[in-house]
Amino acid sequence: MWALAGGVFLGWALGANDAANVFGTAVAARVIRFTTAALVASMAIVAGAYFEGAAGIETLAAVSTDSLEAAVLATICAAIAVTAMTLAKLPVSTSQAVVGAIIGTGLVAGQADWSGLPKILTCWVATPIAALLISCCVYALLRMLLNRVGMSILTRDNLLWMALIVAGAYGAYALGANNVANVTGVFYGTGPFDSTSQLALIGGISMALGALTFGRRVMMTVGADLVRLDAFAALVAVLSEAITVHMFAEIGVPVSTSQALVGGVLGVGIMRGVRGIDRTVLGRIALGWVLTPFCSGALSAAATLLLAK
Amino acid sequence: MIDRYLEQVAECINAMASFVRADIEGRQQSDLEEIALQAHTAESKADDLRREIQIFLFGRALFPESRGDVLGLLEAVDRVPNQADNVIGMILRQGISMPVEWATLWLNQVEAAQKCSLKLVEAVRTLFIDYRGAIDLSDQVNTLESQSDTAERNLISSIFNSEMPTAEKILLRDLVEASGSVADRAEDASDRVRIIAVKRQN
Repeated sequence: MWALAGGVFLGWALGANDAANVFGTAVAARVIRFTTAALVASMAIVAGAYFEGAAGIETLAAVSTDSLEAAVLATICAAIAVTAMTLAKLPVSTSQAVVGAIIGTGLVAGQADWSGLPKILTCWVATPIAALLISCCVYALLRMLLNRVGMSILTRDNLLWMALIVAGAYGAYALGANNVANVTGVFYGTGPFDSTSQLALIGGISMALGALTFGRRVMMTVGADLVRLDAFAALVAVLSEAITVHMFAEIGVPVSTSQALVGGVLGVGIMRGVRGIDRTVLGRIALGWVLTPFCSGALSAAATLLLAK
Repeated sequence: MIDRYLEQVAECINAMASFVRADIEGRQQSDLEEIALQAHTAESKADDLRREIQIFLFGRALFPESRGDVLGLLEAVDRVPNQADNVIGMILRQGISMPVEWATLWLNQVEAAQKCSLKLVEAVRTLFIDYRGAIDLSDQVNTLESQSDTAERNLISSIFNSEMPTAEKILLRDLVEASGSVADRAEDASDRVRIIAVKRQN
């Protein structure tokens, strides 16, 4: 069981970071209390991981090696890459870091399985694009519904508050379902770990603990520093992120919730006719997307080589 | 609570118009004082209710952004009855009296400001029933404010074209501007109503 420690640590960090993509805007805007958000998020993460996490775990297991040591190494290298990119303030995807690390380890060990990679790469590229398109549709649909029904500003606020909780719970469920593979997927079929539901549960709980214990700071950063959205925009962005991430969970490919959220926010911007999107910010996001899998892959390859000697 | 607040605002504005009408009709001082007291009481009650609403909003209800919007709106609305009370004070305490030849123009202007302010009250009330309808009402407030402005300009021109001593002209101008300011403030508040409603149309 100790072999899972790296995965559990990665899960904890992932939960702390990615719960912010689901509830960050609402918590930072003080629309929802952190305690409420963290409780809802952690329960939904565990549920998502347990009920729908198996497909992603199987996909990651397909590209990884069947050695327990390589799996441990891959998770540790991914965690280091994620931490380094976070310290460099670059947007980082745990999914990309984990896949990069698996490929790096596999390349050196001569055990890399490339068959699942095109599917994963296609999904990575498709994530922000899908989120953007879904965001435009969700925006148009919700706007039409809200503007069709006559209500007071108080009723509208209450309605949005409930919708934010539901969308946040759904987003956390999708996060658990999709991203649990990053946490414990590499261990599937290695050593004693041959049950997807057991790995999904352990991964889900570690992510939930991350959201509960360390989610507040990241939520405040995501909501207050990176994007400041009104309640309606936050709802659209979170709902589109959740739908996108859940869609990829069904396909069985772990994707980045951060990238999905960026796509969702851009969709809101497009629907509101925002011009002059900050290209520096977009450039940094693109840099993070490209650098994360390469850094993580290089790190795990180097570590495997070093250990082999 | 907001309904009760708006009722007091409307009562204060109506009292201002009644006061000016009574003054023009030459009613007794005691009658004028009674109407002034009604206006002042309504204005005070509106103030108290606004504070209660503030406490209620800070305690619960609404998103912080909406709380800010509503509190800002209520502060803007509150400036309307305050000004209506000031107009009454200028007539009652400073003894400024509009000469008979301008009585009709003066009453028209005050009634325009009254209509404008009551339309604002309707716009604010609508915001708490169906915010989509508040935009149209806010536009109507602007139109009524323009009418009040025109009446104000005409009256001031007429006063300054007369043979009256300059000091008196200035006092009358101040009174006309003060009642015009009731409509101006109503328009300022209605701009906030429009922004609040438009923001929520996404």
